[in-house]
Amino acid sequence: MANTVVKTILDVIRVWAENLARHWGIPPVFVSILAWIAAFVFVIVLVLLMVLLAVYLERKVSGYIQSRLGPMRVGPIGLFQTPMDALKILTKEDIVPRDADKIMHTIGPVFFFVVAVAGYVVIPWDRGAIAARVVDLNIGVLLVMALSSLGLLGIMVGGWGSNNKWSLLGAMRAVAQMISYEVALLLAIVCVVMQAGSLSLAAITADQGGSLLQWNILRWWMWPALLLYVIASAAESKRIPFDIPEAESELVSGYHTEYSGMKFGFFFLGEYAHLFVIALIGTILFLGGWQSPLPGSIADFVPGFIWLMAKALAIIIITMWVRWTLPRLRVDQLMQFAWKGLVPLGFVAILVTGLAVALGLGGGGI
Amino acid sequence: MTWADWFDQLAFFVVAGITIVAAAGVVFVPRIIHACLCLLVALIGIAGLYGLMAAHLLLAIQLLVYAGGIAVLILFAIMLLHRRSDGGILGGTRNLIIGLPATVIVWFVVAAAVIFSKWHYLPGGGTVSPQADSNVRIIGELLLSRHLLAFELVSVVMLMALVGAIIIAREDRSTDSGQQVAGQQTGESGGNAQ
Amino acid sequence: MALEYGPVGLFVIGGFVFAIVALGIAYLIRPADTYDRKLITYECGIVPLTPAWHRFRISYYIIALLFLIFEVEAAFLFPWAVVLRDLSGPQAWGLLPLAEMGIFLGILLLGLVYAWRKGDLQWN
Repeated sequence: MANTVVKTILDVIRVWAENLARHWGIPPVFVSILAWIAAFVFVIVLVLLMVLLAVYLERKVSGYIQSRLGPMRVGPIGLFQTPMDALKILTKEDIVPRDADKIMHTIGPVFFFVVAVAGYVVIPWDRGAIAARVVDLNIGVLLVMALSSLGLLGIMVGGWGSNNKWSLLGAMRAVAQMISYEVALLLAIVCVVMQAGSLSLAAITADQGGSLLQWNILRWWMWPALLLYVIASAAESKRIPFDIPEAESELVSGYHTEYSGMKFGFFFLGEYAHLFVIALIGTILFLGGWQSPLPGSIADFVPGFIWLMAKALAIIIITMWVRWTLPRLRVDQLMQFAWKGLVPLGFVAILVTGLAVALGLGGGGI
Repeated sequence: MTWADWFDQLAFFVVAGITIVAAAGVVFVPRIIHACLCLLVALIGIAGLYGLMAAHLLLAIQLLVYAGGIAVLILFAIMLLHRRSDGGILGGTRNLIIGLPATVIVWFVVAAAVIFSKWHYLPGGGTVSPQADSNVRIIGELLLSRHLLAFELVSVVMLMALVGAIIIAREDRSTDSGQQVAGQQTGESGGNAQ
Repeated sequence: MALEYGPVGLFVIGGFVFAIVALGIAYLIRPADTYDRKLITYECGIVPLTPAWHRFRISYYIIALLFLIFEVEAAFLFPWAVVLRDLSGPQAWGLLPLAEMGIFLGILLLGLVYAWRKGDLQWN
């Protein structure tokens, strides 16, 4: 089967590299470091490609929703539009306001981007233990959440460093929003952890193995957590209806008002990288990760990596659909919804899932 | 020493060095917002040290609660202050006279606590097993059995912290609410004018 | 043990390297045509009179505090969640683990109810 073929090829490459290293007398530590570098290059290329694709999709989806065609001129059906934009942003002038705090103005977007990319380290891309998955950390899901919560400090630093009222207000709102919804997000993740009995993303994936019916989305006692995750993750990625931080009608452009050129590019990259990692985590938590919907059938011939990507892209397209359909919430509605709606719902979700798991509904184990 | 050990040592000294430099920055940097940024780096560095000691849960909590939570809290607290963009927050020699002995005493107390503590090691002869979740599992089981009372008391402490903080904050709001709201409104009304 | 979290460290270093390289390339190929007017902070086209670093309302601080409390709570929830399935059930401790966490969460819920009743979740 294709899945095992991919794994075998990767295993062969690994064994070959290890033998070669032993033959040349290279200590295994350096082999691991090389493997990590390879993994990093894989992730960064993947992230850049996904950002280009996501921006293209965003324009196309918004176009079709508004009865337009979206980008059509650059390349076939406008495919080269976003790569050209990426090149253009590199050549744009970098304007730093005279009164800005120049160090913080630079650190903000870079930090935002770095923590967004670092979260990818724990994603189980496929069933193999190597290359596909960089490292199966014991605390996988917690580490992703912790890193993604650091992103808001990048926003805060950038917004403060700009010394612009719009930027600072946008950053304050962004941080207030993200910390409020992060509580809900954590409560949703606790439910999945209860079900899987592990913090490792690979174990959470394995818990949903066997058949389509094992996916958390189809387990009724996970539905409160699912609802919570869907809403809170949309808010975490700051998309409409939750895009108060950059509400252009009231805040110009929010925390990146004073950014141009590649620094703006890093906020942009970080935002889409964050969106993508949230979609990936959602896939792993609720949609069975890299597993095919019908194990043992013809669907197994598609590698797990492709399934993971397809599911994550489906989530991204749904968030875009939502974004271009719904209006924006007001800031007070937004904050109250988090604390008066989602946090109590989180307690309910923990109660429901906890009872189901404690009474043995969760299945025999991994 | 194997290469892996050497690499371990190198990683420790790099992370510890960054943490110490950042911690020194918290004290010596004149602008409070920069000090806050240094604090953030120091907190992340401590998370790195936990990682090097394979304290998985502590690493995650350090990042989540300290770097993600405390740092935001401090930033928001700075936003509430009057004179945050002023240069010197360091006082004159008077602070030094009080501060130096206090620092030395705190240092000795912490050092004594570290030296004279009986360190409880996990099952397995003082080493931590890299097996998936073992670490977190043991903590979870201990919380629900041996340390149950402490665990439940933590929630009472947090409840007290929450209520106390809200009460203190409310007093602040009643005294000079006009000024704070005014600051907010310059931003908002500008948006409407546009 | 450094090897275990090595990839995380490498991803962080790699991210910074990528950022520095990208900013460096941008620095080399971008125009630098700045003049005084361009460097004024944007404020709807008028010249800003005050720096942006003004005071913010207390609600932000209270929200951050609530967040901190609930994040500490989550930090206790995760180890519990990991062992819940293994410790529950007739051959282990039954519903006891759930009840223990129920008390913990119940006490915290009081805090949320207090903040709610006192109007600190209100965002004006």
